[in-house]
Amino acid sequence: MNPPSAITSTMPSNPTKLKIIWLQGITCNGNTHSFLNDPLLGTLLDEVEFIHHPILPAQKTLKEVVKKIPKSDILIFEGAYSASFERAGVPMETLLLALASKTKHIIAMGSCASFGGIFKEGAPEHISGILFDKEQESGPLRSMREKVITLSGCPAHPKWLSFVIDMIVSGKTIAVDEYRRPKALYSYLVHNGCLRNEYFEWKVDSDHFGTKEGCLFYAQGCQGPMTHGSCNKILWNEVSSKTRAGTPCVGCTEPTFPKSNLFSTKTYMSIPSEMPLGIPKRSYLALAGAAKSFHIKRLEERLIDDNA
Amino acid sequence: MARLTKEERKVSIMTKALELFSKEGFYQTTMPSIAEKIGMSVGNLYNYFTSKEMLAKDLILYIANILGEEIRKINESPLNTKEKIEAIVHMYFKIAQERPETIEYFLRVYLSNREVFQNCCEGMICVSAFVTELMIFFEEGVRSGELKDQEFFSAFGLFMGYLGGMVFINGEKILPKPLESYESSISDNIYNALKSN
Amino acid sequence: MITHELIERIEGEAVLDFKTDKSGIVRDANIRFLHFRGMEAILEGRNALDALVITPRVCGICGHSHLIATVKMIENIYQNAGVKIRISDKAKAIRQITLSCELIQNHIKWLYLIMLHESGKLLEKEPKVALKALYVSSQVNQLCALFSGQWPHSSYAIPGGVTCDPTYIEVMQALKILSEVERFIADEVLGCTPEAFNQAMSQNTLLSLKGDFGTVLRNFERLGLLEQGKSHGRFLVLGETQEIIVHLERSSASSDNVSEDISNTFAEGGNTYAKNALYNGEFFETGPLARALVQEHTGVSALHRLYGDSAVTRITARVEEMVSLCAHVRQLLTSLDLSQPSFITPPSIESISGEGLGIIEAPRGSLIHRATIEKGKIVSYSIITPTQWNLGNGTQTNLGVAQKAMIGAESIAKASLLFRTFDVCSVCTTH
Repeated sequence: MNPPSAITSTMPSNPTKLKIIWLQGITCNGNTHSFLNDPLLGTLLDEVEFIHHPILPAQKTLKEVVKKIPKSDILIFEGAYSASFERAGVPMETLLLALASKTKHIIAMGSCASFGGIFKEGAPEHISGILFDKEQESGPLRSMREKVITLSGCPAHPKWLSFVIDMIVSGKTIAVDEYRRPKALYSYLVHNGCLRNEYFEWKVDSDHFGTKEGCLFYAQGCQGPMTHGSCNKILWNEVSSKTRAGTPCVGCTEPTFPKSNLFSTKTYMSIPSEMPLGIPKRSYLALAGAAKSFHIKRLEERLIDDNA
Repeated sequence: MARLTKEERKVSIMTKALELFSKEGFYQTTMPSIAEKIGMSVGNLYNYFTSKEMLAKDLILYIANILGEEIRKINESPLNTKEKIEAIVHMYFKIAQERPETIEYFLRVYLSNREVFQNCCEGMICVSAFVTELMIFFEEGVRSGELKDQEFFSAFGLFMGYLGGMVFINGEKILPKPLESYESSISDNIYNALKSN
Repeated sequence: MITHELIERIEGEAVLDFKTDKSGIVRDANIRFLHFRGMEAILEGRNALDALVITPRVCGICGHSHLIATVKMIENIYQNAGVKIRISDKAKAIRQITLSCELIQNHIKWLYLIMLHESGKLLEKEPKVALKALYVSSQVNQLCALFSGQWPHSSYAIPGGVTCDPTYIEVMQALKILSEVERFIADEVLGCTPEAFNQAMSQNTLLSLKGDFGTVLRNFERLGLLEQGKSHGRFLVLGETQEIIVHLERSSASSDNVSEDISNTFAEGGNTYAKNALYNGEFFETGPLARALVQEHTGVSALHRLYGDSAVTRITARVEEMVSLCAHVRQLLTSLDLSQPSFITPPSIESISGEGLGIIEAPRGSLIHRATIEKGKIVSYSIITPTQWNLGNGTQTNLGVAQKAMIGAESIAKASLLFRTFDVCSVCTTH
């Protein structure tokens, strides 16, 4: 029989919840609010607890956290990194490193934390992600790369985060790509599952915004065919996505975000300058030329003609 | 004599048919006249091509592939865009001189009898191999900054319409000098019309 | 005594420097914001349409307001350049629907995550995480996303209209979600019908309301804060209508009288990144209370007559706005004419040069975007956020709105709670 002390340590009065610290760098809070959209937040909070969170009530204030750096199971970092940027009076080069070294898993939440994102544009030489600086793996946490999971996206989807947390809770290994993004989430392209796929196949472009019809890749700047993300598989707010609302994908999960001229497609002599991911130009053009030769009446008409 | 495979036999039929079509035109050329020219029975000819239309379609695919393959070599060469234009003009005129039936077929049969090709060669399908390589040529020319950006077909029409017109005039024996002597001035004209400002 | 208080659990963080006397009463309060991202500089040199993607990233909780301000500003640039731009009534209505959703979810989060918690904390009975409130705000955001594709950070409003082309499927789903939200507000927030809520305002019986809003008010009463937090009594609404109210006197307002004061900023040797926004050189309160008074809302006006611009009026105005906005969204959804175009193509932005202004009413008040563009490229961009009005940091003789509201509070903790009644957002304030 086990000694009583062993029993109490394996059977605490409260089941052991994973302990999370959510720290913000240079941010707009978009990932925090995206996270709060998770309709299964209550179930998630049964599994984990926040030692600190910037908005949700948590065990410790940031002031308390910086006073005595606590151990945690997961450190979630939202926002871009700058060594001198301070939270509660402590510069990130001290605070992030201290928290990171006392945690088991680190999640770069959103594109700023992942690659530098939009705020990197403000001071490109000082601002980066926590592991990557754009495509370069030169961020402050590079010595702990194996602990880092990248959840790029501006913002990241709440279900992407809860998926990673669930995998950690279940003790499963998360397969990752070259930017340490979970393959399960980022092997898809935003293009996959887009309701306009048939228009893409038959090269029917959308002559203007505000319609259900036509593909946004040819003129409106849609980056769906070259952007990794499951936006059209795991829908936003459970119901939609940019492309489903007729907005071109802006490529927000990629280290190159934000590019320029986001609402028009860069073309060279009518040919898109960027090909769908992995498709050789010659193959694409041969297929496009053939597809364009057929005028498919159904695809050239309005989808629903009575409500215009 | 080694036995020809069915594919090789098809190519030899096509080569003969090409001569007939480009000389006599689509409607004057019949399956029996083709069979006679090759020296095979009409019935046997139908074993290779189920109709005159199918034969005509395979011919345009065959020609587009020849031209496409030639332009592809140029596209993949280290030449700059101006030199590529010269190479394409040279290649086109060379084929027009050495194998005039190829270009003749394209101009006199394919482009002049669109009704024949309507049901099997919509739009650019049968000439895709050739058009695709020209797209790549133009796209790379604009990307490198050597050509100005414009609608693809404006540039395509200028380039190919020009070359087709010259071969046509040459075929009519109107040109005072040999076709190849115009290569350099034509290349210059095309480059000047398409180059970036 | 001087105390530097780090204010957490707002959008971002702020530092309040309190000067207190021997009995702990707050005699002076300075508001400082220590983070800055340089959004305006990021925008310069870009295609003006890129601002539709960049400016929502000013703020995670009110980014949609920034989007709508940007699109209105670009449309204004077209008009100023002499180019007519047409927006269908349908597109206008859809923009109103999604913008209203952002305000509603903001107010719910503020009431539950901030007001209920922080007031409870001072009474040493902090409640648990209000999952029901987070769930219902996610529903409001879902309603928004039916049209905008996602919330946060949609870019679906573009010059000429909106990118979406909804069917009745989206409209019916939206109405259903709206019913859920209205039920939540009646059952959980108010504990009564909207009509009874209006009566309670007019009859001054709000404290007896059963819902969570009533709990917040009762917490404030126990803390002796209900009638605290009075400020200048100067209000400003620059979006939609343009009006100011100074000591109950209404007059029309003009954005020409708006200025920014940078004297406290680091750039000028001060100790904050925040610039003050001033109207005719004075601080004005903007936001739900200002809007309710300008619209002459019966209940809120009655409350204002009794209690002035104190905490009870300010809190109630924000809660009341949830109710009005739900009714507004319902009206817009039911009258949406789907046969109209979503988008009417304007001339290319690359043909446009000039200057423009976009002002809208965001969750925290009037939001101003202004830019100059040259052949479609942004030459300069300037944003004035609502919190620059409310959370400005003035001098002893010309106090900011929230500053004035805090002075005289019995303790730093109480002053900090009064500060939060303004719905603090640091990311917007400095941007």
